[in-house]
Amino acid sequence: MKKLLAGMMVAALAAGLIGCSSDVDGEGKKEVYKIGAIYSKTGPGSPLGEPEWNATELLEKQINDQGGINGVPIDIILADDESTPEKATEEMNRMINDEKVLAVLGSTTSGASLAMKGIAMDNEIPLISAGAAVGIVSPAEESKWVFKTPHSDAHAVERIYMYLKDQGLKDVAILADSNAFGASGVEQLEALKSDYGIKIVANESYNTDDADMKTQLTKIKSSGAKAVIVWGTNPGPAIAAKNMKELGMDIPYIGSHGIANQSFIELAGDAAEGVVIPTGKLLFPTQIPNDDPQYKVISSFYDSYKAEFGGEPTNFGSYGYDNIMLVVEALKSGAKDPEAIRDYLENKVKDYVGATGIFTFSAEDHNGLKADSMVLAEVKGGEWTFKK
Amino acid sequence: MNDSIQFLISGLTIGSIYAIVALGFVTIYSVTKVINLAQGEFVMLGGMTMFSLIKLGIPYFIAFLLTVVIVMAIGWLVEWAVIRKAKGADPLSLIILTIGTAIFIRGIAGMVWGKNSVKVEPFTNDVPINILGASITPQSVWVMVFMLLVVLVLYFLIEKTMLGKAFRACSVNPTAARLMAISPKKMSSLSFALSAGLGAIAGLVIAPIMFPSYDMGIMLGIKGFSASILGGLGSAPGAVIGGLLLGVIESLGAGYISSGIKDAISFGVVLMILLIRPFGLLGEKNVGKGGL
Repeated sequence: MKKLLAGMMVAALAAGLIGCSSDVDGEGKKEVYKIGAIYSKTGPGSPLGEPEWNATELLEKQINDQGGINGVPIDIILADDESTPEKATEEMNRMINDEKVLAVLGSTTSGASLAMKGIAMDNEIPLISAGAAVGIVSPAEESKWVFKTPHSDAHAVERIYMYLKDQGLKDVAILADSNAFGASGVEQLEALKSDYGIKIVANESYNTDDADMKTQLTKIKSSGAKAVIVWGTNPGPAIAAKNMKELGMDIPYIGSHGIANQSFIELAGDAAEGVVIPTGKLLFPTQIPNDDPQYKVISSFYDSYKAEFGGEPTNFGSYGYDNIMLVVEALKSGAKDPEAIRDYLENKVKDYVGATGIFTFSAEDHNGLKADSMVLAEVKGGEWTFKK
Repeated sequence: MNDSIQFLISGLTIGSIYAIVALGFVTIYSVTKVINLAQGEFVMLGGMTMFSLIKLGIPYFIAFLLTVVIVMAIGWLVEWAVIRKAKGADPLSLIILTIGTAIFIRGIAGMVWGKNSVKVEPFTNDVPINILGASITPQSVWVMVFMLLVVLVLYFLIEKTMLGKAFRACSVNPTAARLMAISPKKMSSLSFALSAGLGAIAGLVIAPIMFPSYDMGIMLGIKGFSASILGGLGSAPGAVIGGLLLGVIESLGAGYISSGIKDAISFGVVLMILLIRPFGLLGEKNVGKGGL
């Protein structure tokens, strides 16, 4: 009897406790939109991931200061994947299973984004990546839940070919890094050449660590190419620029968006003069003309970023900006669950003016950009300048 | 015709970089029978330390000497902290220890200097020199000059001085050397400091050509090691010939066959040569008796 009583008391107490705690929960829990963001704040990808991370923090603050979305604050849970796909996978699972977020942004690198893609597809959670690889959003039928905002290699290639066609340069040579970035560039350069009447007269490659590329460049020189397209990230393209100068080659040097940074100019020095590349507009936010449709978005983002963090947001900051703003757009429209957000992104985002470009998503295109949202940059006097 | 001269000159440019790195491998091996796989890291430290010192505003020449001294001290420290602590271990374990050391140094360098490549100004102006229609930069000529100087100094040191005799004695028979009042420990420290110094010099002369970064040691280590194997481990002239040959084959392979498979071509040739002469081009036939 005593035992039973004691048992009942314990049970009652426990019930009371549970009741209490659920009460507290119920009162303390206001409506909030939870969004996950995974970027590479540390590790080799950090020069890219840090502006994305900062942009996300900045926007969360700005939105909540202005009273949230339709009166509901957003809560962005930021996580660092340390530039590895393994950590990205771990954080992605945490976001979905523990934090129960509405959507996930990230990650910075293509490898991590591809690893996260499978989890997003299985759990039916929208994912907006800041990775470059086309594979993140293609093929379209296998990327139902995945979007991305950075330009793809194909856009950069198209932009280069548009420029070459304007200049009347038909015979071009390629010098590409033998790594994944270079290989993807060459693939697109080959695939799109016939659309623009371009003829590739030499196709050479180098290893990321090579100290000298004069052999390849000598072959290119003899091939009669009228321009050379160098596809890689630092330091390779800087060595190529230096070697071209040493060989006395004066044909136009077209780079990829992989060298859209000051460090290319620092490394190549004088040899960088006249190099032309396709890039997003955030490389020189202050040089964008006033009548550009993105002028307002870019300048207000740039000014507030500069005021908050001091540094340059770079193109990567614009990916961080667009990723979060697209989700905010969806939430504003009243989409409150993962499926509604996804549907909004795919069907309702038309001619949306972002910082990277103007987005129009469709069932077939989850990147949503056109090549003409990239601009050309030329090195003049040791600085990237807006061309045309 | 013009092209082939340029291919050859480019090959010699690249080859002399491999050769000067290979000389460091040879020095340690010929004394301790240990292959120091952290040699590429010493080269990296040379280039990166130079960059930092110049950035601090130290004059070029003084920075040059200071870099050599600093890296030599690091080399001595590595021997003291890692190799000597594992005394009595067989050379194979020591080689594995040097791999660990390499990863450690690379990790620290990545934290100190960051992941980006840096730029170091060349010794003299960078107006290319024209040879029969092919161009070569003055810095590449400096690499060759230093390579020859190092070979000469090494030859003099090893063959003509008492210290060199002591080095050779330790290499042939450490126990007998000890009986002759030579301390193999001291010789081992010295050889590490010496080869770290050589690595630093290699890093210094290469730095203006190839924009050093914290991970440049991996590629240089592999190429330099291959060059020293090709030339015959333990032979300084062999390392030079091995390095130059590797560079020229690479360049000609890229020029006449395909730049995509230039490494496959050059290492294929190295394998073939080693199948015919397993002891390398200038190596002695008893290479198997030593470390490996």
